[in-house]
Parts: sequence; C-alpha cells; structure tokens
Amino acid sequence: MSIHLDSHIPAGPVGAKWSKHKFDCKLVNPANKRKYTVLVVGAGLAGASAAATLSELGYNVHCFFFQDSARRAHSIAAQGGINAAKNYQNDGDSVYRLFYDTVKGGDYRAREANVHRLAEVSVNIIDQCVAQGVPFAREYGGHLANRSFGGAQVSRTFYARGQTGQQLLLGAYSAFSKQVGAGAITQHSRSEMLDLVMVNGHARGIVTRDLATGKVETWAGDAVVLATGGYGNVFFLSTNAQGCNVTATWRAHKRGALFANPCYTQIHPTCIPVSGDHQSKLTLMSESLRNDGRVWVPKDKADLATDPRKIPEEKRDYYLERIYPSFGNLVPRDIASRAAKRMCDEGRGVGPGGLGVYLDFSDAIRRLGQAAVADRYGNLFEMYQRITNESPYEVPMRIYPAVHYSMGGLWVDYNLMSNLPGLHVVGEANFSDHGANRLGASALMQGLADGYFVLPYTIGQYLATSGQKKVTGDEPEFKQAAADVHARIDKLLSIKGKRSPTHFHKELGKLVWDYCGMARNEAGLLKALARIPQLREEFWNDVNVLGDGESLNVALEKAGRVADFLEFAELMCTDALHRRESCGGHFREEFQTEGGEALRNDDEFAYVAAWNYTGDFAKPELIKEPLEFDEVHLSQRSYK
Amino acid sequence: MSSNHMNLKLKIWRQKNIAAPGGLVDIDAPGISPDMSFLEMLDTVNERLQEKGEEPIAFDHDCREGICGMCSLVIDGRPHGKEDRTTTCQLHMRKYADGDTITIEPWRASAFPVIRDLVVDRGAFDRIMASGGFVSVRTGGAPDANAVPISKHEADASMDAAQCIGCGACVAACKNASAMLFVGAKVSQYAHLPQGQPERNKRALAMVAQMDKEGFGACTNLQECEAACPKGISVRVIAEMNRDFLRASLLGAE
Amino acid sequence: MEEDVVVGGNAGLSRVLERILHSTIGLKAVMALTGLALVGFAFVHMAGHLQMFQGPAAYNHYAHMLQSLGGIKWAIRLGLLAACVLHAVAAFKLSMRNAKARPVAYAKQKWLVASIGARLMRPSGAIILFFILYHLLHFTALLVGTAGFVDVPFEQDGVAMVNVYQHMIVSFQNPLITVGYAVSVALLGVHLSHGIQSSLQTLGALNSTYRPFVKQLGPLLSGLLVAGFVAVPVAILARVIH
Repeated sequence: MSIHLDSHIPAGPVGAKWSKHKFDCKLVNPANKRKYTVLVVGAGLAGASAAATLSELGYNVHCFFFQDSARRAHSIAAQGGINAAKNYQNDGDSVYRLFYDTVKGGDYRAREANVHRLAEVSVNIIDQCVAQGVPFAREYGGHLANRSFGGAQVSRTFYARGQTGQQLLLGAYSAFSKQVGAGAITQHSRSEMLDLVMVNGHARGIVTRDLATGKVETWAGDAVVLATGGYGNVFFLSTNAQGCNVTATWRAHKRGALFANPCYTQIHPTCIPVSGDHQSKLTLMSESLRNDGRVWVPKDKADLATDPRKIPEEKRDYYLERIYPSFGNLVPRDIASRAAKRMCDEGRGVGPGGLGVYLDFSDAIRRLGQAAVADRYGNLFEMYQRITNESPYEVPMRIYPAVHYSMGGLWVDYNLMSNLPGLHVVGEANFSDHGANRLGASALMQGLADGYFVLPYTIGQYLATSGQKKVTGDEPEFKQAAADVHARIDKLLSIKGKRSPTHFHKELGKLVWDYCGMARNEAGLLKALARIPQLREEFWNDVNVLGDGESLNVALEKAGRVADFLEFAELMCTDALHRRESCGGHFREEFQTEGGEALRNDDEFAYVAAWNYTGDFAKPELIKEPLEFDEVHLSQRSYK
Repeated sequence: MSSNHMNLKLKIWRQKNIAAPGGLVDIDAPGISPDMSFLEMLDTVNERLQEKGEEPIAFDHDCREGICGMCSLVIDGRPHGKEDRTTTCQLHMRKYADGDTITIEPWRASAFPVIRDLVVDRGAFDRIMASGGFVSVRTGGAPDANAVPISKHEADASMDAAQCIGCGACVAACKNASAMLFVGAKVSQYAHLPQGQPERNKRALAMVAQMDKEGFGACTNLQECEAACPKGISVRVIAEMNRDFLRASLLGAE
Repeated sequence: MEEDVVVGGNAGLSRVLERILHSTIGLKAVMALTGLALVGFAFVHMAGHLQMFQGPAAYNHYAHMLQSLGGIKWAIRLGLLAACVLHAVAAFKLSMRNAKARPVAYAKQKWLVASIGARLMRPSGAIILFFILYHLLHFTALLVGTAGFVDVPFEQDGVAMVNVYQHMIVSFQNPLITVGYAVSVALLGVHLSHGIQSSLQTLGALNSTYRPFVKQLGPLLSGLLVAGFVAVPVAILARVIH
C-alpha cells in the first residue's frame, strides 16, 4: 500500500498563506480544550515552548524528557544567536530577504511555504523572548544589538553573549515552569520515550521508561508531539549532547511515520579537532569566530610541522578568501566544511593526524587590540584553552568540521503533523525548514517558531477534526506496546556478551563518518550498507549490558539508543546512496562542479525523500514529495 | 600506550539506589591521557569495569561543553574539581599527575537525595523555579522588543545573573547546603529588567518560601558558592534577593 | 508597577512576623540587625573603658553617670538582653536547620575562600556568650572574681561612687583574668571580622561597589574594637595604669 503525501500547503501567494491558514484552521472551543491531553516528548526550545503555549491555551499537557530537568536540553548549547527579520539595523532586511536567504542557504531543498512562515514569525519570537525577560545584548541607547552571522549580508542576529541558546531555552523553561507551577503541565523528568502507541490509525499514546526507577509506563492522550531533536549522535562523535538520540523518532518511524531526508546532516566547520581515541564528543566553537578570524593552511607541506607563528604571510594559503572572494571566511557552513576537508585531503591539514586548519586571530588582535577581541570571544577562547591547553591569543586555533545538526527528520505537513494522524513533530526532529543545509542562527528560530507560534494553531485543526474516541491506556494497543518495550529491555539484559554498548557505538560512528560523512560516494555507501547489518547482528549477539531494568542503568539506556542508531544508520546511508546529486550537507563526490562545489540535479532530485518502514531495513519504500519553487528561482548557489 | 599516560587511583562513592547505604570504593584508573576530560576519564574507567563484569559508575552528564549544568561531582572536596570557573566536563586530566589519588563524591544535601552512585535528584531546583522563576507573560501579544529600552548596564547585570546553569555546585559547596546563589541569580535576573518589576515582590517571597520548604540551609555569607560556581555568579545576587525579600516581607506584600 | 495587595491590621502584621521569623532570610536579618546593634554597643562600651587612661576620677564619674540613668539604664539593659537573646536563638534555630540540610559530610572537603572568622562563627559566638555571662557576673553583679574588690566608695565633690576603677585594677592585675579577657575579646574580633560584612550582606546593603570596601572595613573595625578593649587590661597588667 503506497502512501499519498499531502503537504497541505495553503493556496495563494507565499506571503499570504500563513495568515489565510491561521484563519482556516478549525478552533477548539476554549471550554473543551481542557478535555484534550497532549503528550509532548522533549523539553528543548521546541518542546518546552510548545508545552508552555499549549497549556496556556488550556490543553492538558504532559511533557517527558530524559534529562533531570527541563532546563538542560541541548538547545542550551547554541552559542551564536537567533535570526529575526526585524530590520532594526535598517540595512535592508525584510521577511522576504530572510525567506530568500534561507531557501537559498538550504540549497533549494526546503518547502517555500514553510520557510516563509518561519521568516514571518521570526519577529514575534524576539518580542516574546524579551517580554519573558531574556537578557539579549543591548546597545548603549538601550535598544537591542545585532550581529551579522553565518553567511548573511545583513545584521539580523540577536544574541545574548555567547550563550544565546541557553538564554532562549531558559526563557522557554521559565514559561514552562510557570505552567508547571500553575498545575497545567505535568512534567516527567528522567523519562525516555520508547514507543509510540497507535490506536485506530491515530497516534494516541506513548510508552516511557523512568530512567531513575526503571518503571515502564504507558500514557494516553489525544495527540503526541515529538520534539526530540536530531540524530547527529549516529556518528558517535558530534557536537550533540551525550544523551541526544534517534530513539523517539525512530520508534515512531517503525510505527509508520515517514522519515524524510535522513542523509542531510550538517557538518559545522568550526569545531575543536579530535585529540584521541578517548574522545566522547566534539566541541563547537561559535561560527561568529569567523567574523574576525582568518582561516588558513600552509601552502607548502614542508611547513606543516612549523610553528604557525613563524610561517611568513606569503607561505600561507587563506583558502576561503582565495576561493570565495566576496564572502571570504563567512561562507555558509557546508561550503566552509568541505573546503577544510579538501585542504586536509590535499595533505595540508595541520595538527595531529593532519585533520585541522588554522583559525587565526593575529590580524584581528593587531587591528582591534587584544581587549576588544577578548570582549567578543573571550569565553570561547577560554573554552578552547581549557580543552587544548593552547591560547588562541598567542597561537592560531586549530579547527576541524564536526557533525552538528540534522536537517532531516520525520516528515511533516504544513501543520507540522506527520503522515500518522495526531503525531506532530517540531524543531530539529522534523525534516523542517532548512532543506539540505541550515544557516547559522536559524535552528533556534525554527525551534521556537514551531513551539510558540505554529503548532499551537495547527494542532487545534487536528483535535477539532479528528473525531476520535477517548482512549484510557487500557486498550490492547497500549498493552502490546508496553509488552514490546519490556521484551526489548529483557532481551538487551539477557545477551550478556563481551562488548559494551559504547564499543558498538564507536564502531558505527566511525563507519558512517568515513562513508556517509562530509563526503559520500557510491562505493563507500555500499560498503557501509554491507557492514551495518553485520554490526547490528553482532550487537544483538554480543552486547554486554550489566545490571537490571529496575533501577538507574546507564548501560541499558545507552544500549537501547545504540540499537536504534544501528537501524537508523542503514536508512541514512540508503538515502545518501539514492540521492545521486550533491546539495547542501549532502555531498556526493561523483556530483561536483569542476571547482569542487556541490552539483545539484534539480530535474531528478528536487523532492523530499520520505522513507516508509517496510519491516525490512534494507528495503524501505521511497515516497517523494516534489518541491516547487515559485519565488526563489533555482540556481547554483554562489558565494564567490 | 604512550609514555605520558597516567595511572590514577580513584575513591568513588557507590550507592545502588536512593534507599541503599553507599560508600567510597577504590577503583584503579590506569592509562589516562592528559588530553581526556574528567568525564572521559570516567568513561574509560566504566569501559574497564564492564569488561570485568562490574556495572558502570552512574554519573550525570549531557552536553559536555559546560552549559547544560547536568554534570556534577565533588572532586577532592571541591564541586566541579580544581579548576576555577570550569564544570567537571570541561576539567581536563592534564591538571592531574601520575599516581594521584582522586576522591569523587556526589553533591551532598538533604534536598538533593542520591539516586545512584554519583547521580542526585535536583528536582528541588525545578520546584523553586515553578514557584516564581518566570515573568507571567503568555505567548502572543508581546509588545515590540524595542518598545522598552533597557540600559546596557542593567541588561548586562541581568545577563550576569542569568548565566546560572542550575548545576547545584553552590549548594554542594555550601557547608549549610544553601541554595541562595541559585535562587538569587533568578531573582536578580528579573529584578534588573523592567519586565520583572510587576511580580518582583511576589517572586522573591514565593521563591524563598519554596527554597526554605525544600530543606536547603541558610546563607552564612561564606561566599564558597561564588568561588565554586562554574559561571562565576557573584554573591551580589544574594544581597539583591535579601533586599527584595525583606522589603516585600515588611510591606506585607501578597 | 502593579500595586501590591497589602493586607492591613493584625492579619497583615502577623504575616510580616511569620515571614521574618520563619524564613531563613528573615532569621538572618534578625541576626544581622541585632548583631549590628550589639556592635554599636560594643564601640560605646569600648570608648567608655578607654577612660581608664584618664584616671580614677574620670572613669568612676563615667560609671556613676551610667548608673544614675535609672529607667533609661534598664531600657538599654533590656534592649541589649533582647538583642543577645534574639541573636543567639536565631543562630541556634538556623544552625539546627543547616545541620539538617547537610546530613552527610564529605569524605574530603576543601575550603575555597571562607575566612577563618567566617568558619568559626558558631564556636566563637558560643564562647562570646559565655564570656558575656561571666563579664556580667564579674563587674555588674559582683558575684564572681571579686577577690580584692574594696567596698569603700570613691568620693569626689561630695558624691560617693562605686570605685569601679579599683575593681578594674584589681581584676586585671591578675594575669589569668587578663588573658581570659584578651582571648575572649580576640574571639569577638574574629566573630565580627566576618559578622559586620555578613550583616550588611544579609540586609542587602552591599552591592558590587561597596562589597570589596566593606570586606576590608569589617576586619578593620573588629581590629579597632579588639585593640581598644585589650588596651586597658594589658595596660593594667603592665602597671601602666595602677
């Protein structure tokens, strides 16, 4: 049975679609809202803002998250800022320009209607956050400060020092806490969603495991909202938090939700290089560093071991400035990452293993003075020094790209609802608005847009029209789902093999990084696709999970997540193999221009690849949603 | 194994669950690279333990870049270990020498019960936040962000307080397990902003009442919290909260 | 700013008391206010004692003046008593609470910045309390340590006064008493080296501008107080005053 995808994009000009749609959405009677229970999974920007707003509207909200507090989700780690088309700087910004930049930045693989809506509500987000008491940076006159960020030619990025994500998340957490205090949200901390419950073809509940007590519970509701973030940790090493995982979205996928564009992963260019096998994560250094730092490698391989301070100017290759004279060091992330990889592939990478390029602040320090540089980047320089033991004031930083963000995710329509009725997906967890590449300072924008301003309207449309009977949690579907979860836990605990879950995770991570990382090719992907099922087999025969299921068991948590990554990785590689073009974060070596840039194939691949789980990981069903570009005309992205 | 690797001895608190008694256990940590973070050192130890058929040590951690506030650990008697203004996840092993013995304990406070090994329940912080750590504004209808200018000085003072990551190191460092720095930081953040004024009295009263209810101790102004805070939150926030609380109390405010 | 709802009358007042006496910050404020009042008294007391250096007439006159205050004297005494009791009771209540808040000690604990004075508040406070009791029994009630006190009044201009000057000389010529007093007063200094700044912080009187200054002022004032108090007994023991 093939699925017909309807994205439910409203008719009319792109600038009028959202207004019209808001009017067209059915409303739920205020008195009835408290009769509806919404289960929100995840408490990052999207989850916390959605939970807070939905409960303000009167819905009965439960929120589940695996961290010990709703204040800790990984949205907190975003450093640089949040975009909004406020045009406070009078530099020519507008909703349309933000829309245009985002579609182009996404390499023409995003939905125009969604992106335009994102740009429209961006301005409300800033107003909302300021009203909540988010202490954004200000100018002496008391008005909000902006900076230019990540390849934008206007200053539209709002920031709170180098901790914008933290301040926005704490703002959403404050709204969330307000509602918890009012008894309108029931929060479930240290609670991991392990399955989705479908009743009568609608998403009506979830199964969770309380990580502190091991208790498996089912929860019934009228709609489910997944705000569970991205899958970057499939690579083992990424800038994601340790707990980030694909489990919630993957289990939903196995219950029928389509997974869209899983091969679109963003590799962030400015991360601290790997120092050894022990490494558990990669640390991102804000992209804002590229505003003043200059990226270079030695022209001559003979200089690789030389102290960079002693390499004369004429023997340095400022390759971004050379290749992209008009954007220079500020080219978008995918371009900067690939250029760094090319330099390293040419054997001109610096540092251990030749996997690094210099990011040099000596010019900026000469020009602005050390104090001014410290004022802008001091906290980042300190962080770098803590990790590497080198001072960026004295020695150029070494940076290397690292997995950072997942543009792919569960497929959703314009209402942010997946193909499964009732299952809504917000934030990074959906395949979203970023196409094949996300621009800097746009993730925070999307998470909050979805949670504060989009879902609260669109979920009403579903609830008002679904016509489903109440469920209690006693239905056989709930019992079966809980039994499945128990069986899986018991199975993991019973294997008693030799290798730890981390061991498998590392091996999988290396495999997908090598063959489905910054650059992919057919031969490599086939290799990965041959190896992943073997690895999965080994996992289920030889994983070592000690302890029991009735208490806090870190190995068991990890094993469950790794098991899902082992399945998801196969879909990611399958998607990467099928997309015989290069676009944004997906770079197929076979498809590049003579200058080594991504070569799209709009005739054949201007579509969203939404994958349907068929029961056989090797043979998922591909369902295409064609993308149409009425406003931003398809062209090769050029940052030269 | 390269020659600069260290062999360490750990004394780690292990406790099966919230009800079970716990104790310090000696565990060897051989082959530790100076480039490892403290938590990566524990990862390595955990891998070894599992190979030997022992359950891994449970400890809280998530972002591993010093911002989520999930990691904890009192290391050799100091929350987050020996480096100033640094969370445990950002502490690196190059600060230690071959042969060192390191004592690792959980946060100690009756308001933070130990769930397992080094993991404690910090739900008390969430309940304090839910009692008043917010501006009562609903989504939608906010005025334009630039409608109310806020002096850079006040915005900066607010941001200084808002940097709190809610890790609980202040409670762990305080001999009275007082949460004044944590609560003060939130009270101060809003007290410096015009948006925080309407509920200023109410917030101070409610958050202090909840803080007391959770069983945290009183502040004796030793300022250990400020010294242990990985984000360098100043004790000025405590003075500001005291002022707000006392004023509101004397006013008999509701 | 929204008007706060203020409940008037007895209900409002009892809530004010409830909040002050049942919250950690309120109790700390009680300690801070009583502490500062006692510090003020200590300075006046010290200034009075320094009149020992001006000879028996000046000192005895000063003591006599205090004795003749009548009702005011008793008001001051009651006020001081109340301050001491409130200070001590609040300290006791908070200490109990604090001990409950940290029931399990660390196997290893490191002090980061806390001064000696700050860490010794409880023992120093307890010893000072005993010292005050002894001091009152000694010089006010004349019940202990009175060996050698003469009952002959000091007379000048036809006025007969208790010869407190003589009591002082006799007492502090005893090295044991002098050392005991000096140690107690030194502990008071230790107590106040933290107490003064702590009180101001508790009352919310400190901000980033004043804190560093007060941090130095506290120990300085405590030092002055100790020097002033110890000067007289030491001078007596050294026979500078006799």
